[in-house]
Amino acid sequence: MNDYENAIEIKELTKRYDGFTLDKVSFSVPKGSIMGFIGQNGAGKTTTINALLNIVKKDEGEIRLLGLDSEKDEYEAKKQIAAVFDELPFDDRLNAIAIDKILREIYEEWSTDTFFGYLDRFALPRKKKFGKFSKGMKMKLQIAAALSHNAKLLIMDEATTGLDPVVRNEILDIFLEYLQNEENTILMSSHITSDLDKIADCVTFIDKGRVLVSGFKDDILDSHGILKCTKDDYKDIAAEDIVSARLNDFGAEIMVSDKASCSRKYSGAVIDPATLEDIMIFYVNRDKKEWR
Amino acid sequence: MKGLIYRELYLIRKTTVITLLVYFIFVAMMSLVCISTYAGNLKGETGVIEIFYPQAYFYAACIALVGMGYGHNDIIQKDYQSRWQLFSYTLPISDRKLIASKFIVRGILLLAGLVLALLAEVIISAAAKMPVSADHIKNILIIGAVMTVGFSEIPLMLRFKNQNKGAAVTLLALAPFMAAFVYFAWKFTKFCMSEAVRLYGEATDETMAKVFAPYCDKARTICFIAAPFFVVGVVALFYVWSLKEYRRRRY
Repeated sequence: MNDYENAIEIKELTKRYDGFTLDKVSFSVPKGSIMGFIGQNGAGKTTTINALLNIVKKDEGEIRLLGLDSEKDEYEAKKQIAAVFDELPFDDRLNAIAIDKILREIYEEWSTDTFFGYLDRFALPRKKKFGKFSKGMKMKLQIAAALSHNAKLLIMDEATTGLDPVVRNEILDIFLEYLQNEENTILMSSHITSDLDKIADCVTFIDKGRVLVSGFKDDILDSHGILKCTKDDYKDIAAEDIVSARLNDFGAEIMVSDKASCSRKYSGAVIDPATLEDIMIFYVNRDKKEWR
Repeated sequence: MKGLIYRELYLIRKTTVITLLVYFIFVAMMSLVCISTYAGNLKGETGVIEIFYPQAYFYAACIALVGMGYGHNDIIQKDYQSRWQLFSYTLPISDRKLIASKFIVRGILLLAGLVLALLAEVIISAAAKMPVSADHIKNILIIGAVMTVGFSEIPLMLRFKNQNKGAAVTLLALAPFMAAFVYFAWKFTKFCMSEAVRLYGEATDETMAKVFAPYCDKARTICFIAAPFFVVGVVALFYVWSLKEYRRRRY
């Protein structure tokens, strides 16, 4: 058994496409944690995840999964990894019994009991064809399959997108349960930041192919804040303190990345806590600096 | 790999059942025609066996061999649609094994088709009270060898993602060969006619057949000897091509 501190380590990952470059992306996901990987559509989340899974061939950089090289030890690593996509990757003509027969021959550590245990828990039928499943049922089935081969790392690409809040909550609970085992880790890409607010330990924010913020969620939320001030006061705020500012008819809301220092510097100003969604929106508009 | 093979066989089970149904109905009807020449309403009719027997096995073989492989033709297209193709890259299986599983399924279907075709020959021969024909068996095996060209569906579908494009490109590639074949058939017919006139004084169906038969036998013998090499070459070529396409799809 290989020993590792970080379930995922990405260093200087680069992938060039015509019109888009994943530019020297680096971050790591500590073992036993859940990392939220956020960014707007087209930011590079899926490309990064595909590079992790070796679906995409990287141009440069290094990726280690569970302490193993993602290319040299690809199959050893993939035995311990489960991938969950935004859509069920199983043919509509299959049913749960058939999937069990297929996957138990593919994964050495596949557990039929665990799989059917999850199906019963999610109240999913065994003989019904997947074509007749709802979106929520399909996602639950995919998660049941992902959690039934003793995977140490769960990689999810927009897995909760398009699901109603009840199903999303149910799924988030399952993830928290999965993380009770400290050997298990989750990387979860999403643009639904409220989900990550609830369960993520760490967050990496990517935009236009570059990582802007990466670290523990609480540290990120503690350090960022929204400074609210009048238009006149806005002129006194130093440019280096501003990530970007949303202007309105009455004043300005300014995202600051060092809340403690700003509250000392601008003692009269009100600095509200920022949510992940706020951080994402203000960082996306950082090039404009001022926006409405 | 067993899981992958099971998955593909499971997905084509309905087409396979329909093919079996068509095959058995056809073989049963052909057998009944043969039986009725000595125990039914065709008793006393001349030339029925002579017309039916040499053709029945051929059609039965075509139904079995084409039908068994047909269900597999769109499986990769559906894998792209269901995103299994993407998911397959996340499985702890090497590219070689993954592609090999598709060829094994194709091989199983081809073998099953051959068994059915040979069975049809046995059944129809028994019904016609004729000995099993070695020539027919050779022909069936040659048809089976030619059917390995159908393995091209795997790399073509991996490349073009849907059947329409794959079929169009295949036809485009085959067009010069088809034209060459038509030209060859015309030249050969002309040759047989002139030979029939030279040897037998006139070019009738019978004299033409007499000229044609030795060439046909020789061609069959050559094809029969070449068939194993052809099969191995075609499968190896398509396997390497499929592997290349599968890897290329990793963007």
